[in-house]
Amino acid sequence: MDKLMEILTEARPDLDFEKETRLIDDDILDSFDIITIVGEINDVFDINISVGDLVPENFNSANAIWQVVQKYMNEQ
Amino acid sequence: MSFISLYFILFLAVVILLYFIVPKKHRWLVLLVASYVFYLLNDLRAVVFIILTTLTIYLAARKLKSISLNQKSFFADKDEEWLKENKKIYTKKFRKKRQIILAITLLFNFGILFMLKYFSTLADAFAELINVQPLGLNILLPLGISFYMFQSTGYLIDVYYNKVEPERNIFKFALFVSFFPQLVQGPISRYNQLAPQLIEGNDFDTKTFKSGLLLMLWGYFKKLVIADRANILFEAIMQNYTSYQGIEIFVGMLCFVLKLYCDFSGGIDIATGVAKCLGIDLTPNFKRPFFALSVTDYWRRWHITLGAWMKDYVLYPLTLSKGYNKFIRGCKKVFKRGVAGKVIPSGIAMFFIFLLVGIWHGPDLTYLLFGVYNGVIILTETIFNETRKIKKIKPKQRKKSTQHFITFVKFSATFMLVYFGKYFSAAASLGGGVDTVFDWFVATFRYTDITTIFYNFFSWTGFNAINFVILVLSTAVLVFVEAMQEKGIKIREFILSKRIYIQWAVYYVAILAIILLTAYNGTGGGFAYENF
Repeated sequence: MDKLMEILTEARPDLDFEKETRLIDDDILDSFDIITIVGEINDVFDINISVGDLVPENFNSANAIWQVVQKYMNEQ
Repeated sequence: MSFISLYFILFLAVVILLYFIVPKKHRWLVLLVASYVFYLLNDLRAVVFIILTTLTIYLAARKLKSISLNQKSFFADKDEEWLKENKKIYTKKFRKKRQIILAITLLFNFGILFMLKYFSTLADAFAELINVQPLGLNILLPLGISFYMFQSTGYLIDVYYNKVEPERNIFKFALFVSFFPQLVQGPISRYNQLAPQLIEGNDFDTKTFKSGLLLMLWGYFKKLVIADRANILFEAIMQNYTSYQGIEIFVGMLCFVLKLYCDFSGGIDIATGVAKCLGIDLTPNFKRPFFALSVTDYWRRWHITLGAWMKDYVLYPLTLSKGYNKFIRGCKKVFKRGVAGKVIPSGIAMFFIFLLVGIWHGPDLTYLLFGVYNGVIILTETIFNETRKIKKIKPKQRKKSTQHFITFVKFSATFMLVYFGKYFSAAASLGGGVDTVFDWFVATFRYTDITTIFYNFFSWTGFNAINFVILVLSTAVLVFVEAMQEKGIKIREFILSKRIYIQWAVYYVAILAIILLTAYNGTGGGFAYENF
């Protein structure tokens, strides 16, 4: 989780990811952020997040993103 | 039967009446029949194309589902040890099958769109190559083909990624593809957002109905009073641009910007209003784009559903693909943690999207350059923003007046960048090429003699002073309403919260204004985007 927080804060230093729960619903993250964040996650955790998982529910909060990362890590 | 006709209003009245009379369970059938009647009356031969797309996508979606089910039952009776060894191999096999189905169906459908759009240009180029007389074919595209194509392929891709359950009933699916208000020029809807609203019969609600009517009136006002009027001036000036002075050319091009926005967003307002009368909410397609403070922001507010489609179905699949992931990693290795390592991979992908949108507009170099122009600006803005983020530059605390001034500069700069971008589409709309864009651009900066400005303007354009005043005033109304909306005021809710006689006064004034001030002369009456 710490590693994820690092990725998120590096992509958007202006946000407090502990608090945000509507990152996508409120258009806080734009497509550029998403590409950067997912690219970095794939790299750091050595996974390949599928487009099918790019739904708002999975990216609205740091916790939700962490769930997705864990799902992929368990599959390996 | 265009939106701009009395027949359409009559047609709509009958559809709305029937819709709310028929039992709830069967209301979707009214919409399906109405949609096909609407399409048949508009473009008889094009019905073949819409049926072809409906059929192929319906069948492909069912097939994708059945492969998924087969995969599940195939793994169900295997023991754990077998699964450990073989699951990955077989999952890959099943995935391959699904990929093939998806690829063939997408290729087939986009192939049709590509052929219709590009065939005549390619045929002429080929004729020139082998030195024979070009055919000079001019294929008129089937009504709204791009929009139902985007909508239905989006559904198929969602089914592929298991984001939605495929529809079993082909007629219900046919309604999703052909729903008549949005058939002409969008908005491009998502299956899980639109389909449930179409299938479940909606109850009649007076407030929603009135709100729909108001939105329709607003759309007609934008289209008939502003867009069609601005278009007359634009064509008169730009077709004969050598006769006019710099500022007059500027006015002519402003008219194009006004026309394009009011034509497209007016049409969308009518579509959204019609759907609302039936109790159906369509996705917003415009969010006051000319209030944007950057070009990136402008594109987030203009043709929103196309942008969202490109993002979800092209940008993300592209940047998440294994090959692209390798490219991203490569960039990071080369550029370490700098701006370039971050911006290059995503920037190239976004640039590609703008190129694609440009190509989608048509087989003209001007459209391609339109894509390049916007791509370059967006890329520049992104590099700028990312540098600020990496260097952790925080916005400075400024005096209120300074802040207002900066906002004004940003607003003006964005407007001018967007404005010059429109030269490409404006030239293409009058059949001009890159040289036209260049000539117009130069002409805009031609010397203007203040003493003779607008001297011959009215006699040459055939546009009288009254028309000019109407255009300016109606544009002022537009700017005022949008400025209110930008402040968060919901105009329609505000009107509907007033006493009934005030509401009626608004309807009467609006209808009278549209009828009396319409610039529509009885010919044409189509929308700029309907044959895209």
